[in-house]
Amino acid sequence: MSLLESIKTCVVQGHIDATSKFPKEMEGKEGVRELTQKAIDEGMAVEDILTQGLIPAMSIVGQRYERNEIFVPEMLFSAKAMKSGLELVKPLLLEGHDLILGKVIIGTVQGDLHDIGKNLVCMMLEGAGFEIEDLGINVMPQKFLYAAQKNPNALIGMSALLTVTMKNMKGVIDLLRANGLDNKIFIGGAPVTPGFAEEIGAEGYAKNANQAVREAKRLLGIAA
Amino acid sequence: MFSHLRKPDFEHFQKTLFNKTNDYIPLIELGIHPEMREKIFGRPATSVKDEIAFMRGLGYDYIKVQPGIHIEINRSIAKNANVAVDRSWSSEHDGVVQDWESFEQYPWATSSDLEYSRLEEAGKLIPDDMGIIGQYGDIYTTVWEMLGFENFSMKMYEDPDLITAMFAKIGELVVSMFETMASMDFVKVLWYSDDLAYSSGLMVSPDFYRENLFPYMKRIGALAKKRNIPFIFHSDGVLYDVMDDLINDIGITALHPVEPISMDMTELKERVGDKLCLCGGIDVDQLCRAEPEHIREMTRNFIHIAKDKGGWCAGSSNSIPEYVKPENYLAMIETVLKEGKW
Repeated sequence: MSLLESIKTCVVQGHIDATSKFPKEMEGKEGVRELTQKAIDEGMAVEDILTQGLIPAMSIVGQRYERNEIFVPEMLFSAKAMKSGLELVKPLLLEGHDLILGKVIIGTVQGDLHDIGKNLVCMMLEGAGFEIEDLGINVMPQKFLYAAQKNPNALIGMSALLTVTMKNMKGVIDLLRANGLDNKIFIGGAPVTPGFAEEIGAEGYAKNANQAVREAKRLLGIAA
Repeated sequence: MFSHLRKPDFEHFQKTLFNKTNDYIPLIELGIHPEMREKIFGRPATSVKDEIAFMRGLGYDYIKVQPGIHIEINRSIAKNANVAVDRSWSSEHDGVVQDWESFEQYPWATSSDLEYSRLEEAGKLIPDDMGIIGQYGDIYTTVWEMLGFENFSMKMYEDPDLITAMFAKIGELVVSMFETMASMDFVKVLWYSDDLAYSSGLMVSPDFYRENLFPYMKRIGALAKKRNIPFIFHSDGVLYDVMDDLINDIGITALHPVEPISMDMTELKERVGDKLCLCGGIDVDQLCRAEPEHIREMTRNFIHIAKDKGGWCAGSSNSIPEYVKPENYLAMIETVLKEGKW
């Protein structure tokens, strides 16, 4: 198996490094961290490590999650494995390179402190090649506005777990539009539906983290 | 209030929860927020006596009672812009137990920390035509909340013995509650609640539940079976991947709350309607945002589904939080009481 294939396999399997006990059958073996470092040391192009190793692996992880073949814990391991490779590759990427698909500003809306789903979306988007600005949880509308003003081309992602807090998404959209910003918005979270997204003027909706990647690409006109 | 529309009949309610042919559609809720109770009742309905009057007045056949207990989990408070209520949330990252050391140091509750005075009072006050549901839950939820979900996910694989030990601590405690409740003659339905799934699928693998949670649920199911009383299970999300376990191994007789975003009532009825009574289904989101006439129409659609085969207790697709429109909640109930009969 080539080095890039091995990196890909380790991300899919969620094997972070040799100290990681997951998955059991890979315990003690080199993981994404060591293999990515090896690829860098061997002079492999960082673009290849990303586009042929790390990024396609997370795409497979997302598909497996959607098919209920793996669940959130296994996806978290894959995301952590991906991140361990990304951390090594990122500093080597040239400024202004075109590997970043786009920027996504994301947060859980005001009044809501849930962020497992939002974090998974961040991980999957990052894994797919997006640059993420995570505003965190309980995010005030003004904070979304400030971030959007600084990044007028960025996508804005909002998450909420409850009917009562998802109402706050509309306030953010209204505030952005009132300030002349036309950043595209996509939303998600347990009570959120495509109908609600349409009703409040959000351009996109995602039911899960993998769908969020597809939706972000669609909104930015990137081929899936 | 609607006591003029229907008198309680707990035996009929039990019969429906056993999925037997019934004469009308009973009402069910897992929870009705105290503020909503106060809005409808005109004053707080906190005592057992008031609880009975409140539920009876709305057309319910039962009151639901839990044992008293407090398990500390790591919680934060968020101010909500839309409601004047502070909510507490469990941490999704770091919990009160992080490793074996914090596990050993944690002041675990034992069965002697449980108290049943409200249940005993309810047993004395409940009228003959109403009944008591003994309810508790959250073995799985408490374990992950005590660890924080990320830590829980990591420990599942990195330290599975810790996970097993935590399930044993919480599981034995909760089973002991149900053993005590099942020993009370006046408790005539058991209800276990624990959220196992998202709207797109289970939170963790079916095998994890089979290994760590279902053995405890099975013991609760056996208690209900021994008493020949219904056993309701509540979980949000899509449960098809563990439906056989729930019905055949654990022995649930009724499933709540059938969130429309997760499982379609008509499809669910087709798939398991011959084995299970289905409870809930009326979209909480619509109860919050729609107009009463829309709620009446939605409720009629559900009544139409149930009229063919019965096996439905009407209620919200989760619970009645304080931010539901009271007029919508009452429209749902009134429609069921007036039109949900044959």
